Amino acid sequence: MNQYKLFDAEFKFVNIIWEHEPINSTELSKICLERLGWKKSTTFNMIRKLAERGILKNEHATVTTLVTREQVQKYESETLLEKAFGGSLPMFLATFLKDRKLTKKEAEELKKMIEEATQ
Amino acid sequence: MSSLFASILNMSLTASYVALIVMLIRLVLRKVRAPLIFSYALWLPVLIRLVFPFSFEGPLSLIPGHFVPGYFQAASHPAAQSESAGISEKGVSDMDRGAVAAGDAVSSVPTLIRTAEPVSSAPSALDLAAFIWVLGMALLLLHTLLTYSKLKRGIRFSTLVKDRMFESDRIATPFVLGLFKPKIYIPTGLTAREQHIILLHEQVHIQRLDYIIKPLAFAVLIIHWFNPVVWLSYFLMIKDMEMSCDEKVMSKSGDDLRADYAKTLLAVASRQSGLFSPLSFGESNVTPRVKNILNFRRPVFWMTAVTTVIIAALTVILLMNPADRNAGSIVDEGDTADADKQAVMQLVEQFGNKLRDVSLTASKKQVEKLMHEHYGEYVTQELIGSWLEDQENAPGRLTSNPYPERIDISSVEKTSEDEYTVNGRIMEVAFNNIAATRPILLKVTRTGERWLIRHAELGPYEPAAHVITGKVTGHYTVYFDGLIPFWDMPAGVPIHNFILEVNGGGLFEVEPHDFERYDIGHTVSIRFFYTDFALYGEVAHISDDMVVVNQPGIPVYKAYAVTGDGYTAFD
Repeated sequence: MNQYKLFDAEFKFVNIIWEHEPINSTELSKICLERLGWKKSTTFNMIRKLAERGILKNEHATVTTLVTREQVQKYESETLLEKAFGGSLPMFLATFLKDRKLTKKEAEELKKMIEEATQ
Repeated sequence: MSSLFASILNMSLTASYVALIVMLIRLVLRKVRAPLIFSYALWLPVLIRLVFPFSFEGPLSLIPGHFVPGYFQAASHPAAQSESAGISEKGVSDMDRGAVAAGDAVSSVPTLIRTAEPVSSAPSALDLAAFIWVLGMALLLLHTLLTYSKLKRGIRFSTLVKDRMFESDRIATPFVLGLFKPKIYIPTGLTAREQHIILLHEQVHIQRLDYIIKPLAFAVLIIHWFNPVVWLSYFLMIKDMEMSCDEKVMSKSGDDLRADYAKTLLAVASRQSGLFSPLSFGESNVTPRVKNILNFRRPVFWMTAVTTVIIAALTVILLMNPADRNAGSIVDEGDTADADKQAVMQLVEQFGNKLRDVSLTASKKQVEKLMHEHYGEYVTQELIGSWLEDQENAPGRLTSNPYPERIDISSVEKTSEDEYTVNGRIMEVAFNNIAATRPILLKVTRTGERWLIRHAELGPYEPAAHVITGKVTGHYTVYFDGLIPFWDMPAGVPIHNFILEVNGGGLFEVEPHDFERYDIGHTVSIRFFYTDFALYGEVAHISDDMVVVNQPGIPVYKAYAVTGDGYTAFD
């Protein structure tokens, strides 16, 4: 699903919408000017571009997202897993855990997730 | 277009010379480990030379005489040829004016290539070159625009980091862009430390206006794209710009940035493609820059001060043209400093250019008026008076063709404190070929503030020696493939053979198989075939468009048709 591939700027932008949606497009451009340094036209171009890709929707000057943060995160991590670890989850975890200690609570959570996933 | 290109060529040539000197000075600066800002500053005279065709004259010029602007010239104005050199199509001089003068004791025949103006209207080599030049510029410009738009696309949705700094994951290396409000663009994923160092670097660029200088220099490069020295200069200049910027950042910073700076540079090492790149932190010269950074030492104040003065002086010197504007002409180059001599020679040359304006065959009153009008500025009133009394020995124009085009000076001698004796030749030109020369001796004397010719001796006309004819057009050169009309010969008259009278060279008979007759309208025209008959024993080489003559070879200037037996058509 290439649909969820977001470039850095796109991700930052969609992040703002996730925080504020539904949001008026003029309101959105004001936030973008402040946080991203974008001119109004840049913001509207981005809205149009992402609307075409089905990431968000702009109706009656109100912008809402069509994808969830989880969907994007899932796509990003799967891509990373595939690209850097050949799709091997254990290898990914091993690398990730190499120089770091887990707290008891984190370990419990992980254990629970693994149990749920294998049922 | 050709003349514009010719002036670009001249600038390119002069600038190349300056650029080579700059490259030498750079080497010296590197040896003494001078700050690179000086190397960077030295490119200014090169840039100026590449853009402005004119400069000022000074005694300290490092440019050799024949490098002064004016070396190349669009061959569009025949009269201008006598003043400066043009470029020849094949590099072959069509008319070797130097050799004409060689009969005299001229020691410094110029080595510049000269050309006679081709009479035909065919496009010259210069026109062709100008066309290629424009084409090349257009292609480079297109390439630049494409690179630029690609770059623009990469930063379209860049996002603000702080101040004027934006980041984008679509670019690989940091750079500054924008002429009026320059912004700094960096790739995403850099650490705060790296961002800080890049910010320092780019801020120096912005302060020094490098973001304007670089595209400007690139525009100049596009104009001079045919010159490899300019390409080399451009890349060296950019290298100096970046490395001096690195040095500035480090000397500004309170603590030792070297290690972090070098690491940052390596982290964003350029992967850019395309010739044009905006100011970028990770320019391609990463290795020498890292070395330079690691070797950085704060410059000593007095050394900076001394170098500043030296570089400023060098800049001025490199912008200077040699004081002698005539250095490229027949004048002895060793003797250029003598202002009087220059003034005298200039006077004689100007006088030579006026000869054609005084028609000696006009009425006496008219001649008097013409002489005062055209010679008055250069010649004493007494001499004009004596010329009017003895018009036989006065210089001027006798026929419309040939006519006296100029005086070529062969020697200038100082005969007393206020007098020079000038020997030269009046060059009589017909259809851009030298038809004859006439020795002239002039005594030029100081009269108040200026110089005037007070005495003149004219020698006999001499047929031109060593003439190599120009392109044959059939218009005037009758010994090649052109139709010669015989207006007084009715069509249908039998012609048995031809007699050619070669100017000063006698008569030659033309065999029937060497010509073809055409009966056009009421008269007969003759076409000659290529043959060496007319220049018996003197022809070295014949090709389609030129005949090269070894010995005094003289253009045919009369042709006679012979009807019936014997030489009855002439006496």
